[in-house]
Amino acid sequence: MVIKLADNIYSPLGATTWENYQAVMAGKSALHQYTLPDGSLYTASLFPEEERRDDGYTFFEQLCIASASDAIARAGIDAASQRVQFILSTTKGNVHLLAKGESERALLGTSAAVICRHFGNPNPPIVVSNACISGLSAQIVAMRSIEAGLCDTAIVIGCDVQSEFIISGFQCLHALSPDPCRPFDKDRCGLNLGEAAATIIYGKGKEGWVAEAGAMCNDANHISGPSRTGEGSYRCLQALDIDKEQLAFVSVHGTSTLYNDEMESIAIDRAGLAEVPMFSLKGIYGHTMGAAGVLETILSMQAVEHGIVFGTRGYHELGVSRQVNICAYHCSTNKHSFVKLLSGFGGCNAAMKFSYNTSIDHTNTITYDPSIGTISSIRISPTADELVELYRTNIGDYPKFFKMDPLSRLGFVATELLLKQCSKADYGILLFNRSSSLADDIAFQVTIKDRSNWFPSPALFVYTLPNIVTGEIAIRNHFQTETNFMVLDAPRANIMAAQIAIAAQYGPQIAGWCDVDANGNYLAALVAVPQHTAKETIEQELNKILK
Amino acid sequence: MEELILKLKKEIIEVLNLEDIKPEDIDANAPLFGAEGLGLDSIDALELIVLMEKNYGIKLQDPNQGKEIFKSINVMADYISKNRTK
Repeated sequence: MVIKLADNIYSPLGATTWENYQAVMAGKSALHQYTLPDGSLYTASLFPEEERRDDGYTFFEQLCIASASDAIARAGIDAASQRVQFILSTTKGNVHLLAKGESERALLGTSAAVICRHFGNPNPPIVVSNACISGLSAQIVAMRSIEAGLCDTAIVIGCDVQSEFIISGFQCLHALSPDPCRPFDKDRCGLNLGEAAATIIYGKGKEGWVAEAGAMCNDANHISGPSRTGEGSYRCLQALDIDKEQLAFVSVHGTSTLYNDEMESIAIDRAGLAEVPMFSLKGIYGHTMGAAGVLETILSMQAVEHGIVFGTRGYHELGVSRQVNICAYHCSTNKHSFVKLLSGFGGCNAAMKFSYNTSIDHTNTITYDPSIGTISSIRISPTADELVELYRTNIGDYPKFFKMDPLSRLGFVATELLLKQCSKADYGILLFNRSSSLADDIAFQVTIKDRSNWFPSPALFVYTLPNIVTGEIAIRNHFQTETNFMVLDAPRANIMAAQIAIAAQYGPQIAGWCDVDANGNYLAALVAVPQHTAKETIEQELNKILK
Repeated sequence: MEELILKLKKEIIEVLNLEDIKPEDIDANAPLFGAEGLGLDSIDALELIVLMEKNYGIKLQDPNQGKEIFKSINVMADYISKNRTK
């Protein structure tokens, strides 16, 4: 079974998991109020300004290294081993460097390689950048990679730091609360942002915390608005095969926005879990984005070990339509399993189930179908104008295409062309690239460059996550299964094929490379992969189309 | 007012990337949101809030105000003419 070997939380509330757990139990929070350039107020959980230095390593990398170092020491593993895989979960990494005109170090793969090199690890790191569910997506990737024998140990680091880029983006979406947030409360009025690094290390074993199951499902509804029926989150919960009598709690996303909390209450009620105690940690840490899934999983494990269900800081009176069981105060439990639930932009949702010292073997078996010898593929490398022409000539019935950022346009057109060659199915989507959403990031940065002309664009900001392209494809085709996005330092067919083959264990996949770089070079090289396709078959095809 | 309506149509086409739509294609009385009319969505509404502030100096604190103001081009133009500061 895949078990947790060690962990760490490095946040404004403490430098270890234990310090953070004690702070949560004591009802502490690092939320403070700050002011944006336009004079509007927001509340966030941030590290002190004097700690925020980019020397040698950037502040983001320093946090990742500090958190991972503590966890690695506790696990007693050799991080430089070839059998260890680093997986970084982040949405925006060093995006603040764009304001200084530095785009190379702002690339997630570049920064991940710097972190990996610090520990002397020889394997190219995988960055999971799947919006707010990144932390769970990364843990699911870690769990599956160990099960498939790709590595013996996976070090999952979740981290995001806040910057004017991110804060102004959420502000222009009118998603920020000026005051401490109030998850699920009738008076909630938006989220607080937070920053933290958290590391969880997984390996094989029989005792301790078991990563039992994980699921990701897309709403296929809207790129920034949650589903009104909680579709993706509901499907994730269904997929986990939960016995609610065994559950200590559901550790929910609970961002404190009007629509997220309402959506989660619907999903939990539909899944028959309305009576199960639940809490949100956002009133303590704010929304730590790429760190959230890791940080909140680790704290939930601490809670179960100490027989505690956390209270939801900021919650007083139920303000969602379903009668869900939000814990206002810390209370006790004698159960040993919990579910962690998250949802994010791009319509993605994820849930994982963890159990402490379970006697049931939860190892998922891997099966490949050797009869699948050939798979469909497509490669396009158009200019921006040629891409529009491809759309007009071959598709032409989706005006929303023109609202998309360059990366989404590329992924959308390539998928449309690929699907013309394939049989219909509810495909999962797993895309990789090097540049993340850089082209759109640069466009958004322009809107906040000049203080006298400071008008951050909501339409640009929503595309500053690379996984939005997977959401656009899911919406167009009503794909409601897994969607995920990974960033690598280069198009590496072997790593991509291995991850696509693992994802294809759970269903057919549209997968491959989809990149728009800072110079406007477009390349999409995608494959359509039936369920249970072997890695070798995928790698062979990827090698052909990536050249 | 006619001048403002035409200017507004051009601005909306540009800022919302309404490809293949010309100002004369937009009925100033038709709803901007929903299946009829231009079929705009919630992100477009937020972008219109930015447009109001950037081009006309009108700051809407509550996005819900937009539901009334962005009913149609005519309603929007009327609101702008009464409240603009630039």
